[in-house]
Amino acid sequence: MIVDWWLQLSVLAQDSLLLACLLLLPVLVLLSIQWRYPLHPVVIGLLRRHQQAVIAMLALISVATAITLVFALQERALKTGSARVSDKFDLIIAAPGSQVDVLLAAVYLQPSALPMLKADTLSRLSSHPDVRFAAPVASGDQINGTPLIGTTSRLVSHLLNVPEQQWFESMDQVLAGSNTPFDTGDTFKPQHGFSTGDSVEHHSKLDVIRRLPSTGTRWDHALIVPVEALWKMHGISTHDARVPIVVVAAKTTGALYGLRQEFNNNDTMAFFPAEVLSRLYSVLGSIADVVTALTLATQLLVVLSVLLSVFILMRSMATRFATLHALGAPPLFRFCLIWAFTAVLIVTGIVLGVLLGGAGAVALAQWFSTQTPIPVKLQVGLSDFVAIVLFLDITLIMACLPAWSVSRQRHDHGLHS
Amino acid sequence: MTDTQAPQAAFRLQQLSLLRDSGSVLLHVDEAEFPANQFVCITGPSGAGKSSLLFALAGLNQKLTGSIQFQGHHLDALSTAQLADLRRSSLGIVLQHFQLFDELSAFDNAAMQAMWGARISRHAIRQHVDELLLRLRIDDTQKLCAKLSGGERQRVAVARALASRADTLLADEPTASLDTQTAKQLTALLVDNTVGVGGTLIACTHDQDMIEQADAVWTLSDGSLHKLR
Repeated sequence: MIVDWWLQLSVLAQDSLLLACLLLLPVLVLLSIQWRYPLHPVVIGLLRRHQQAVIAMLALISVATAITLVFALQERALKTGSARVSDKFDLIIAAPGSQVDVLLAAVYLQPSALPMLKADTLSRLSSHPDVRFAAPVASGDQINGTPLIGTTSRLVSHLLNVPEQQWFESMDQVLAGSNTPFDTGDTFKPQHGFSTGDSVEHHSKLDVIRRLPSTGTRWDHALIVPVEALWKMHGISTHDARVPIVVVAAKTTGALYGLRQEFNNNDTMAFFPAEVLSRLYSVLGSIADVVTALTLATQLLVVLSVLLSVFILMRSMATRFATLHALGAPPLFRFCLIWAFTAVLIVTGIVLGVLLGGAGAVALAQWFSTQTPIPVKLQVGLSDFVAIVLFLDITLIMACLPAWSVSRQRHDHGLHS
Repeated sequence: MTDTQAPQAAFRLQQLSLLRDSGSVLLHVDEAEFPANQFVCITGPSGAGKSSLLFALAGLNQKLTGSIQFQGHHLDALSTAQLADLRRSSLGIVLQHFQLFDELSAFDNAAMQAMWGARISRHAIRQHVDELLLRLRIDDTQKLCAKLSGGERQRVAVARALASRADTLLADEPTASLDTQTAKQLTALLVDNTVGVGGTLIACTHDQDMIEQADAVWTLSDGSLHKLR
């Protein structure tokens, strides 16, 4: 009955309840200890007395927690970020070759020397009854490192999620992505090739006519020109023009599968970007799993070493425990004292680690977004906090070990000797 | 555990032998009785076993044979937890070298043992400890013990023992390292707060002034306990 009730709850409700229970458990234990024995002056005193060791242990726990958190958040953000970027590219068609190379070139605008499609491919696709639109993607030039991408107004509208409109009135007009250093009114001569070093300038002069709002894709880092402008700059007539990549949007989802089948032949290769990403994730995923396991194991080792340090610290305080024993301190008091001391260390360390890890993850996400083709956006859910608090509870249970070990020792001779 | 006859003594020792780590006998007592509601001094040369005897009376010395009865309870029949309970409720102890917690305030040190007892409310304990510290001339009760003078530390240790409201107080060299005047004041305070209120005070000491004020004096020599008066 309870299982049925639990399964009927939403994921959010389940996570909220779990979080509340997991938080309530240590809070209730600490409150009941404090109610039974007013421990706080002794615990604060111990923390003050061993402040150097305490700082070292806090640093260990917080850094280990931060590293685990940064890795977990970043790995997920990279996956969702890379998937989100490819969302707007339903089907990609290119000459047979590496799907990964084509994906990187079309979606992430990574420089790549790709073979060209046959000249009639674009027109065949454009006139196909199942195709909503087919947009070429051509690159090969840049201006001071910002790639110059040739395509159509249709794809620009699609990326911006706005009704179809004409973005270019002439072939010397350029749209600047939201993350480029260019603004309306800027003019430049594009440089040939991908390298910024010894590249040759084209004769054509281009004008930035508009700075686009963000599309949430790598295209925000590019300058967009009509594909015809690129052909003209390279001296290719429209009649002979060939493109390496065509982005296709179908009229229906079913049609997409038909198109993929139809255009997977000796001349063309058709694939869904999500499919390639999924294959990549499955390969990288196992590596990520290993790294996740390693970071968790490291954190566990850190917690164990902290528990061992607490054990050694408490052993060095034999006279104090002998004094407590002589004064009639109940064994439970000694247990609670050591447990509470360890609990304060662990809770503070993990809270600091979460703050540090959060800040680190945000900084790293910003760095990734500017330095890599993937706009990384961190997502933190309630389930993340459930995992953190669950880990906290497990370590608090482990904190019973030094407490139990020290509190059961005999201290009869500690003072007399 | 309890004799059928009402206990007439705070402590009764029978065929008690305290052993060294090697197993040899440090001190043997055929029979001795420390009456309740009296001030008893135990004296003797250093190393004779005064502290060992005091620890045995507190149920802290496990290396012994024979019997110690405290208020009718055979200590050897009690578990470690029961002994701790007895010390918490009925036995105040002033330890040699004070054994205070330097990182805690004078108040927290003095209130520590009483807080475990929980026979009365914490508010009442706080009031009692404040009064005790005031009587013992500890003006700043929130001052860390690490910052107190030797005399102040000793008085805090006494306050800790008295705060538990135990009816028997064991003191190990309570006036050692105090000047004569302070030692006299401390002795008076200990006596007033134990024997003066119907309790028992047993002190190991070399302090002649203290010994002179005692109702009964025992001395340790040649591995035996003898009553001087």
